[in-house]
Amino acid sequence: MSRPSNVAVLWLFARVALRRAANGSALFAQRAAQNLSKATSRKATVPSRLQKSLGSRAFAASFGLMIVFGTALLLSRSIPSITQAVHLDEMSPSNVIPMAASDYEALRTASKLRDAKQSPDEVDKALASMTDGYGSDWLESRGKEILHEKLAKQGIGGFRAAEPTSEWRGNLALLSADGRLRALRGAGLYLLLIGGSGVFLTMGLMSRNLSRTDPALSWLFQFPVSRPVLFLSKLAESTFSSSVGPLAALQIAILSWGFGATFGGGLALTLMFGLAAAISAGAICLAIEIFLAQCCRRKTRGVIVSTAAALGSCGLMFAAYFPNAAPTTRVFLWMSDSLPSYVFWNPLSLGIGTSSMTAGIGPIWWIAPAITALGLATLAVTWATRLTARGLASAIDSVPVGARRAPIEPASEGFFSGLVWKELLQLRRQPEVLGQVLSAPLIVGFLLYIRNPDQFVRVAAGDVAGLCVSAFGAASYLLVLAGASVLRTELRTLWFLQCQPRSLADCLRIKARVWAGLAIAVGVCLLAAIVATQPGHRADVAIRAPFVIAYLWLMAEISFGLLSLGSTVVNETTVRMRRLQWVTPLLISAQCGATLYRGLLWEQSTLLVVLFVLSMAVRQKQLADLPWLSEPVENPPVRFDALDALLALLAFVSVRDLCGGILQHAVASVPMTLGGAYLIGAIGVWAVVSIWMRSTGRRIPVPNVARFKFRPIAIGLAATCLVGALWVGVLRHSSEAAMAQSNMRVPTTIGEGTAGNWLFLATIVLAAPIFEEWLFRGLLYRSLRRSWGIATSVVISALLFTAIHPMASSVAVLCLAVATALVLEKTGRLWPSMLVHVGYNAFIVALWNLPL
Amino acid sequence: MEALVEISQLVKRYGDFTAVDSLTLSIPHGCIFALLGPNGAGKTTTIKLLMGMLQPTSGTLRVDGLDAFADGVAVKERVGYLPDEPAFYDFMRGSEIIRFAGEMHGLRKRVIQERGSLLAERLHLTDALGEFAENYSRGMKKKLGLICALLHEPQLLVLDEPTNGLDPQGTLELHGLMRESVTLGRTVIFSTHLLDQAEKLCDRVAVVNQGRIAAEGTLAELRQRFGADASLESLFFKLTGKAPSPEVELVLAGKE
Repeated sequence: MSRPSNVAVLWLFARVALRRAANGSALFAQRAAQNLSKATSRKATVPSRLQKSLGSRAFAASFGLMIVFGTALLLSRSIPSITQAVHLDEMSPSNVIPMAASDYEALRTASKLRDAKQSPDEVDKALASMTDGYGSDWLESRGKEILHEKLAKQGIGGFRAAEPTSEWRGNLALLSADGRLRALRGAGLYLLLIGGSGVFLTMGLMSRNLSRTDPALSWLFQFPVSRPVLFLSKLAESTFSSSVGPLAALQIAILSWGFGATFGGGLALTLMFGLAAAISAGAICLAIEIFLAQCCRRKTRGVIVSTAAALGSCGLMFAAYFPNAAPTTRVFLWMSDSLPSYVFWNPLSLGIGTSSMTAGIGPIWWIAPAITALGLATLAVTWATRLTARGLASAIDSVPVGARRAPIEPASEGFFSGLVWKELLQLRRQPEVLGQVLSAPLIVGFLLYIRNPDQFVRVAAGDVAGLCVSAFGAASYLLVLAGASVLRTELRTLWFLQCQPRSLADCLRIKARVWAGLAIAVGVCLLAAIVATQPGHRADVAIRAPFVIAYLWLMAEISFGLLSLGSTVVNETTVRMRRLQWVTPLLISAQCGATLYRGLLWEQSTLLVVLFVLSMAVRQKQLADLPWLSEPVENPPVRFDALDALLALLAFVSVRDLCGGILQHAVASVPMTLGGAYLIGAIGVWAVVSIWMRSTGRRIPVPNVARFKFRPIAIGLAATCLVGALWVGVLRHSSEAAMAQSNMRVPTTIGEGTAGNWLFLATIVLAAPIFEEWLFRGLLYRSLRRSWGIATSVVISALLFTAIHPMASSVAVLCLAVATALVLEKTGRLWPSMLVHVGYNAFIVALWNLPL
Repeated sequence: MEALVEISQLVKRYGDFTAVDSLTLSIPHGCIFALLGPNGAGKTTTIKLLMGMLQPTSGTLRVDGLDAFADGVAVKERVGYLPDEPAFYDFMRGSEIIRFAGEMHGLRKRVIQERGSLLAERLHLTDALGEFAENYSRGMKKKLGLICALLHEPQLLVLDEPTNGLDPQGTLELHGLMRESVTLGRTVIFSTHLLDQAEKLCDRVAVVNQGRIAAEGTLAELRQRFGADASLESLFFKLTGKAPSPEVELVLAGKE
């Protein structure tokens, strides 16, 4: 048998990588087509968790598009904003300011008109067109200020039309040669920042291979191929399959447009740069990976990896957000000014910013990155070959011989303490998990600062509500990150938990609670710091602190639950998580933050109730679906769960509010708007949910009650009306303010009988009771009842029902919810509870309209 | 006496592929039961179904009268399981994994310590217990998995290809442990494609082929049914329809 030639091996690897890259891009189109055909024919397909629903695929697709557009937007804004900052610096009073020829023409005509006192607005418009593309507010306002000052002092003589240059375009064309160099250095530094952060982040993501050498590499080592060729092939593979190349190409495409390159030249430059950047990144990652695996102990690697991940994400966020803030752009320019020129000859900024590249686009633009990339590749391959001269290190931290005969020493008893102990052990032994997770609050703080430094300083100086929200945000972000990274390690050894006599849902719940404890500890420390530094605002902290703790406790269960429900165990090394499950906890915590900021007791309590119900619903779904978490992947049977009922409620509230907002503009009458919006929301949600349940075969089992009884209806109606009457009496005698808050007060003018009033009356007496009974008793209560007893289900559904009603009517509504749920339970049918609700609402409306 | 494991009309499909096809089987108390079959016959799927890790497409599977999937938690108290390739938490040492498994079963610490060190001594794993389990070789992982499976003294022991990767000494110890379990009144189910092992060890055999039971019974029964002098090997080939090619037969004949 003959050995394959080195070229053949390289070609083999490159082909595999190219095919993978091509597949990746083709996959999206293919999936979209599949979805379309599936949506139209709805045939039975291979049951698999990987086969996502149409909705979540659409979400994933839009998420991907969002990332692409976001990257393009940020790149097209951040690099130009450096140019604009330089441009501002050049607009000093002594200079004659160069303008684009068309702008100059417009300004000249406008200033002539203004001298004739005809149109001062035209001048503003002409000046604004120059600063329009500035992206950031502070740049625009400062630019306008300077231009107006100049015009006022020197008139049109302070400006000149810039000579058209073929080489530069946009603001770069307006700069002097020195200014252009400064701008390009800024761009080079920006590229360095993005590239460096990317490398750090990649190092952080290498934590997968912390405990041993890359299994793929050890597999490849068995083939009769020399090591340099092997590493070269690996490099070829990572060059084509990583996303660094396309991103770098995108960057340089935007840049070359700014430099005024021709289409062909720009395209060639883009391709060349993309390839060079991909090779460089692959080489750097290869060198780091081999170094980490061959030379570092496990703990050292953990520390390196977690620090790198934190640094990388901070750097990327900085790169993404810096054009929005004045001080950061200034610091950036200052740094690029003070750096020596040779720094820009680094592979990550690809030579942009060196003086030889500012003369215009010439051959050096292609040669420089190509040479750096090839040099880096050679270095990385040589280094990797030398490091593995004695074979692949097993990369094992062995314990000293003395410690080897470790007896089995249980320090605790029982399954709860066992799981907690294991969790804490993991935190101690895997510093990268703890490092990545604990650096999350830092990143949040950093992000807040970058987004708006002035506000951040203001918040830190005095706004206690904002500080409480930050404390909560930091801790809840920690929870989401922890959920993702900890569940991943847990699910890789799924079989081990599966053969223990505990349900997976319980095990994961305890995990969530350990992390909830950790997050609460972080949150409480931050709150204590706030109390210590803001002694005058203790009451503000005190009203929020209990809610911060309770929210964190529930957030832990919700985010861990959602993440575990969205997980797919592909095999022992790969666990996938749906992005939707990642984003939902973040959205929930944003809502919590907004509520905490306002700090109203009732609002905070209702959100607490909603979160509690959500956590119960998530738990129900976990208990039902997690036994299906298996390898190979399988789909659990479709059911209608409390979680779906909550989604329907969320949809109803959103549609109602949206329609209300639109109707408000179309119809002037308030009762018409309220009634109409409610009806549209109710009918829409009812139709969508019914069709969805029918088409997907989701059903709620209804218990068979043979004999129908009248007594529960009579008792329910009497009891609710009695409580309602008492409550109305209390309200009417207490204060007018409470009456104004109660929405039952509106139809006082029914006697006048306008169409809007009749519509509102019909909604409140007929449509609302029927729809709410269908949603809260028919969907929510019945699906809760499947997993829990009468008491629990009644309490949960009643609390949620009360939470979405106004505070003024809370006691009566709570009684109503309990009564209707019990009526449903006793009669086994939905219409009796609808009847009770209709009767109650009619009675209350009548009471309010009684003249007193 | 009622059988310990009752499988009736068990079907497991993945899309169009049928891994287990209307399999019916009952395994009595106190025997060593071997599931034989070529690669991909559905042995591991059956075992995973038995452990409640997968839900059957149709049919029932009962262990000690309990449904394997619906009453999974109760079933797992009675069953010890060793997968073909056990993977462990990469941040725990061997001794810690034993401790964790014991605590998950709610065992007292003295019990965990006693049983764990006894089993580790027998399987010659004591020296390696202080090492991270991820750094174990395949055989060591198997031994550790076996200790975890035996720790709570289960009524039923389910072993998926137990001797894969074990050294001869370990294999002998394992066989000893299996026989010992049976004398203590427990039941052992194991899957294998090693015929001599099955012949030496088991009381009853089921030959699985393409997701179906091709034959089931004690060795003597099978011999009687398919020809008195037949070895398990020739029975196997007969039942699975995977007879060795004539060349191989020739080589085998020449050897003898």
